[in-house]
Amino acid sequence: MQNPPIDIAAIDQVALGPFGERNEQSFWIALVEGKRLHHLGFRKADAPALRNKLALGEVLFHGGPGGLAQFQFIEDESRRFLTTGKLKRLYFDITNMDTLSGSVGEGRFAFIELKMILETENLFRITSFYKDGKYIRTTHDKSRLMVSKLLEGKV
Amino acid sequence: MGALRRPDWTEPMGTGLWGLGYRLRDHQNLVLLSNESLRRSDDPDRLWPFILTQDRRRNKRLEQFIASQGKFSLLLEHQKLGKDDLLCVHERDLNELLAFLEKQPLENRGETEDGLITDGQPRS
Repeated sequence: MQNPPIDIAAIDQVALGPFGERNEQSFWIALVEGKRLHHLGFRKADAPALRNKLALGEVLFHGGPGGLAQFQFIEDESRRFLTTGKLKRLYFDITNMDTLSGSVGEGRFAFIELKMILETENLFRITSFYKDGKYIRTTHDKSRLMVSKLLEGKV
Repeated sequence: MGALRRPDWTEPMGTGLWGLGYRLRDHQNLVLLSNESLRRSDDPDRLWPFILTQDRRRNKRLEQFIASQGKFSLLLEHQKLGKDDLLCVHERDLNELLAFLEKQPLENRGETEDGLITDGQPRS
C-alpha cells in the first residue's frame, strides 16, 4: 500500500462525516471517489486504490498516544488540520447522523468535527453539507439550525 | 512472546482509531481501541479501552451486562469519555477476560441469583 507522500499543507478540500458501511454510497463513493476528496481515514488493504491514495489518517494521527489519551489526541489533531491548513472547502456528509448515538463506534468523531465546524464561523462558511450524495441547498441560518439539531444530546 | 494475544483481525474504526478485534461467539467481538494497527511494545499496565460488537455494530447492552457481573469487576475499569461510558482492561488482564467471554454465551443471557451467566435455559 505504498503511496506518494502527502503534503498536508497543500490540501485545500476534504470530505468529513461518518465512515461506516451505511455511508458507503454517500461518503465513500459520492464524496471521496466522486469528487476525489481527501479524508481522515486510514488506508486499508482491501480498499480501492483511490481511497487509499486520498487517506490522511496515517499522516495526521501518526505517533499519537494509546489508551484514553488517544481520543483527545485525535480531536486535537483534527482541529489543527481543520483550522491551520489551507482548507478552502469542507464537504460534510450528514447521511445517517440522525440515527447515530455519537459514542465511540457510532460516529463520535464525525459529531466532534461537526461541532468544531458549528463553533468556528470560518469553518462553517466553507462547509457544504451533503445527504445521500446530494448537496443540501439552503441558507446559512437554516444550515446552522440543521447542524445544531443533529448535535443535540451528542458528544 | 508478549502478554497481549494476537488479535483475530485489525481494521480502522473511524477517525484516528484502529480496532484490534477478538472473536467471541455468535458474531460477537471484543474490540480494543488502538492508536496503531500493530502493537509495538508490551506493557502489562497499559489500559486498553474496548467495545463489544454484535454483527459488526457496537452493542452497549452487552457491555453493560458484563460490567454488571461481579466476576469481571477486578478485570474492568469504567471511564467516561464525554457522554460515553467506555470499558477498559489492563493488558495483563486481557487474556483472562477473553477466556471468560469466549466460554460464556452473552446472547439470550440472563443472570442467575449467584451471578453466573446463563444462556437462558433452566439449569438442572
